[in-house]
Amino acid sequence: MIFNSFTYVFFLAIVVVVYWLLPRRPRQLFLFAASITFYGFWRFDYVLIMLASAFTDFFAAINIHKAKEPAKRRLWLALSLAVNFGLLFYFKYANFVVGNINGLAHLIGRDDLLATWSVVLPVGISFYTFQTVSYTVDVYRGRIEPIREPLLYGLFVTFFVHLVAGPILRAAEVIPQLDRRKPFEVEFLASGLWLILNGLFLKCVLADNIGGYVDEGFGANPATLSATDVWVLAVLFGFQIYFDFAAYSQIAIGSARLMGVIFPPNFYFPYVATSPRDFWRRWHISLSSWIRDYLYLPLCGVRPHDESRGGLVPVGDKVGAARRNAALIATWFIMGLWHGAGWTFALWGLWHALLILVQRAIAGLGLMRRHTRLRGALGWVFTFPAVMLGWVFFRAQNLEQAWAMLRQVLQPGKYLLLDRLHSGYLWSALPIGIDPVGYLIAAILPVATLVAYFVYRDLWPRWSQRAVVALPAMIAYGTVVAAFVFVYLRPVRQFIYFQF
Amino acid sequence: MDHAVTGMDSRAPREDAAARDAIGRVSAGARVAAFVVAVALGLCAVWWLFAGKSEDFAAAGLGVNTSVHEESLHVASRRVVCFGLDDLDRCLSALPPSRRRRRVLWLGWSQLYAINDFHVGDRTAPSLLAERLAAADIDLIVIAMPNINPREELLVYAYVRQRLALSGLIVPAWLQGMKREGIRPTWAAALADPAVRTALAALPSGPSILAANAQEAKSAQEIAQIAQKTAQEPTQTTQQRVEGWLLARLDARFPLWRLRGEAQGRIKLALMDGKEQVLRLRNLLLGTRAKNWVNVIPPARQAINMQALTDLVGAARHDGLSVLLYVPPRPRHEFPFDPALYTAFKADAERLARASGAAFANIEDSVDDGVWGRIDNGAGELVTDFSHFTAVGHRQMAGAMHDALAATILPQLR
Repeated sequence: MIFNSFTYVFFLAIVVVVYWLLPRRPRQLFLFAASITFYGFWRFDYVLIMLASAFTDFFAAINIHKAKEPAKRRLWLALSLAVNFGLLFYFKYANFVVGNINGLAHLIGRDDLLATWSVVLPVGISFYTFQTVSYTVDVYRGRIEPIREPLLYGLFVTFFVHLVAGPILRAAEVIPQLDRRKPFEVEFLASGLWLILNGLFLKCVLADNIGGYVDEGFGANPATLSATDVWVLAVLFGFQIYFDFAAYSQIAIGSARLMGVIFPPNFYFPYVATSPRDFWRRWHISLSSWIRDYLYLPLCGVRPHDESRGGLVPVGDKVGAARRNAALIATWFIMGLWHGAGWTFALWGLWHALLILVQRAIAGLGLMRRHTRLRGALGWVFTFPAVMLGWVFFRAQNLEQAWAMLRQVLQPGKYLLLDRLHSGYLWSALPIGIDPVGYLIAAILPVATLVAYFVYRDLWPRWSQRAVVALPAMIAYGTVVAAFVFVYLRPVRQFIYFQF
Repeated sequence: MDHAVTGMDSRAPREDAAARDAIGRVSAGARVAAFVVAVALGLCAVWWLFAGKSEDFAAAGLGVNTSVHEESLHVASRRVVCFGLDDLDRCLSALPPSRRRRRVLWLGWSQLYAINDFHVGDRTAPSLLAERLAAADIDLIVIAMPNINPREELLVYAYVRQRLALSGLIVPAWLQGMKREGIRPTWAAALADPAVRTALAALPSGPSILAANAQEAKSAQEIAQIAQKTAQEPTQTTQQRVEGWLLARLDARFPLWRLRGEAQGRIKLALMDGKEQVLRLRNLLLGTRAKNWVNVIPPARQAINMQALTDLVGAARHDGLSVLLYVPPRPRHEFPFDPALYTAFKADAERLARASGAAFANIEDSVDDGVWGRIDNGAGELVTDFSHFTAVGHRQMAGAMHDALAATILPQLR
């Protein structure tokens, strides 16, 4: 089931009402059944794959905890990782690997060495795999004790609000909340409803409508695009994916909130980031926190954190520069591939590694010691376009397209048709190959983001202290948003992150 | 706090500081009430803004007092002009069933179906030409859509060719049509037909069209495979079936719900209007006027579209059709293209026709200056609409086109 549909609105309303009426055990059973139904609206046969992955970890974690010898503990951990990553590899990466082997074989004159196979990627496999793996690893590390109630564990993995696209949460953050029978509070309703309305607005009104311009631009032959077209498309896609994924996260967090379950925020104005590292503290925070704790910090040999917030953190001088840099590159390479089985995604990851390396180099020169407004502004001016340009890799169909688009950006002649300057017509030298409305939207969005950030951070905390100001503001905002959501709510596009 | 079942610390995330600040001193009950009031007001706003009024979306972007009228598209009871896949079957099935009759396909854009300053009884050029050709046992079928591009024309031809035995093809050499290269969704569905994909794949432009619309092609393939394997199984997911059922009920019972389409269309028009305002600001700041402004076609895109046009004419000739490539009517004194580029474009089109064995006709001066419509050029100036004209213009165009056909491919068709 997808969030941006009327089916989900009705489904959620029924689930929330029944949830609060039931006692603890039947409530868990009901929520588990509702979660399976939610997933089954896409394909019921793939529910078994999800449960196989989940319950492998359930038993592995108990055995890890029971085992006295380190070798046995490692064996159970290895089994869990093999099953989880094996499934992920089979469904997501096997054809990618076969394609690369065939490509190499072609170079030595052997065509179609290995056959690819037709396989449908289970929705959300990347998310629930990371979630269950984090559970087993946490038990192995002795951070948590294993859960002995299969129903509770099954609910932790399949809980429908974060099942298919996160946030990727830790067992210790979710399970105690699912297990306790909290009394109903109006606060749950208040925050949940507003978050869901915001999320639907971001998805149905902003992301889906921007998506039309993005699809048209990226569907065009790159040679027909000017340098400014590519920049505009990069910005448009950057905002489309942000609105799309932030929307999913807000609806997920809001839906959980309606049931009294509190998730941490997954996005915090990523496009106001003043450095690449700052960006990753604001973008998909639960994923970057996961990567930090289960990949980057272990590779650096540093003790990991244990919560899905905070994003990437600097490891400081405790680790040598060579090891830090190698860990960073490996982490981002894997982070890229996690998003999709393609070299474009790997390059997107490496692009971000490069940006952070550049940031480290600049910091090493002592230029970033003092936090001044000027430094923040300069940081934004460099970070924003760099992050946006990276989205070209992410959205391109293949490496050829990505390279062809980026080549336009690198050629001064693609900003202006110099050979047309003599013609005497003002506009004939400006090559605009996409709908001018796209230019308009791309110009408005960054400015609107900065304004929204300013209002949210500086003005709203003051306004909200006075109900006489806050309530009319909320009603005015909510009226506009609700009207737009009513007009545009339709499942025309899946959430982009569903494919990961 | 140790958790009773798991022994875990309860590390449930706290509300982050920003979110706590955002809530401020407004109580939860007040926020729920505000939500309910906001949703109710939002729905009232939709009703107030969009109920009881309806916009003619077909006329959007057509210029001042230029519109589309169903009755002007017919000859006798047959609709001559079709727009998309959804009404094509209706158009084709209305053709007289006779093996002796010849069928000619005419592709084009809104020039063929929009009339400026419409009066009851006015007819479009396709309707008038179809009447004259019918007397010679030739059926004219026109497929037109706003700003059609040659890649779309190639797809339309490949699709119609699978469904109708054609004898002739009329295609415009239209510079404005070179501005876009995408296939609009209403026609991309034609790629679901394997015969269309096969026909396109054999042409130089075809692979890029198929690749750019891979989703349509791929999903159609998958659907075809599934349909073959399990004819009885539904191809929709549970989500799609339930959503369809729900929407049908909402549509049937709630008038407010039915306003959504109208609202979406009018918001889109408002966005276009917003664009015009921004262009006006640009023009004001940069001193842009109709006289120093030209419509720019990216050179690489023009090359891609010329290739598609070449493929279209070549494919039709290869299929044994008589083909007429024509330069369409345009106003003589106001025309928003660089004259040197436009002259070169016409010369290229003529070369293309000659090289493919197609006929070529230039009817650009066939419509008098006084019968063109007016359009806002985005600078707040009303200038000559370079695409649309009155019923008089349609009569002139029909006459010129008939003369061009008579001088070129009509004898072969007879």
